Amino acid sequence: MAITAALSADKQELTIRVEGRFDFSSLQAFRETYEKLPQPPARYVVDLEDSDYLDSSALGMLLALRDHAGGDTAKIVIRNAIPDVKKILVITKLDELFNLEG
Amino acid sequence: MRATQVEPIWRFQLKLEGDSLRAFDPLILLNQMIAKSPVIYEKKSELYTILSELYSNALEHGLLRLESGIKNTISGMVAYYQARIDRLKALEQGSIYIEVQFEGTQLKSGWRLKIIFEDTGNGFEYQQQQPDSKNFFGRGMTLLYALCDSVRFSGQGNRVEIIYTAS
Repeated sequence: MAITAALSADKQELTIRVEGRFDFSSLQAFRETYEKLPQPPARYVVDLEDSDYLDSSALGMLLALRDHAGGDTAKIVIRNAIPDVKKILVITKLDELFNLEG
Repeated sequence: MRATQVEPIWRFQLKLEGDSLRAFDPLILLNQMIAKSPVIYEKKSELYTILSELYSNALEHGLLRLESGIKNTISGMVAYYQARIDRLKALEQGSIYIEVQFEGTQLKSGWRLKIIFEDTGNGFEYQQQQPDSKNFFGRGMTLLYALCDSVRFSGQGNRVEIIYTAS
């Protein structure tokens, strides 16, 4: 479980990558990626390509990010989720609150 | 003709209490077990989610008496998981029993897992999130019911048995 983040050159887009197991043990690392930025970016990408598993605590973390990024006006893409992870997002209707790509 | 009976191919039982609960994350062991069987491994992602929800329920609500409601802010979420660590350190009594039973035959493609979690807590009220809710918590039950073929609580809500059938 590793969380890494990178800001685009124009500082407008933050990409957060989650590897391995995505659950409450990542909470601190996940929120630090966006809470410590001096200026909030306009857009966020959560890349789940290398995330094999997630549970309901990870869904809570995604929703907390959405809230931080402006709630209904937040621009967050969840990218490259594997089919089983995508299924979790659909079951819990998070696909209606985030843009799923890839 | 005799009725077809499902025989367990293997069964795994684990009881965690006291220091073993503090020292040991059963999800890691259960994941390793899943990884050993190629047919089960294909379903590892869903099974991890199911096991994680079952274990969180037993530990956080059953034994540690944590209330999910405080997770609705980010600071509440942090406080909740800090309390999980603190209360687990201080836990003096209680145990969690886990049983995983693999049923099926190698001649047929069908197999299923029966998973039981039982904790010595007082049980708790299960709640499912409304589908359109933006709350940060409450989706664990929704996931369990959607991913499993059956979910049955018994006792005071401190024992749960699920059936997962590969599809």
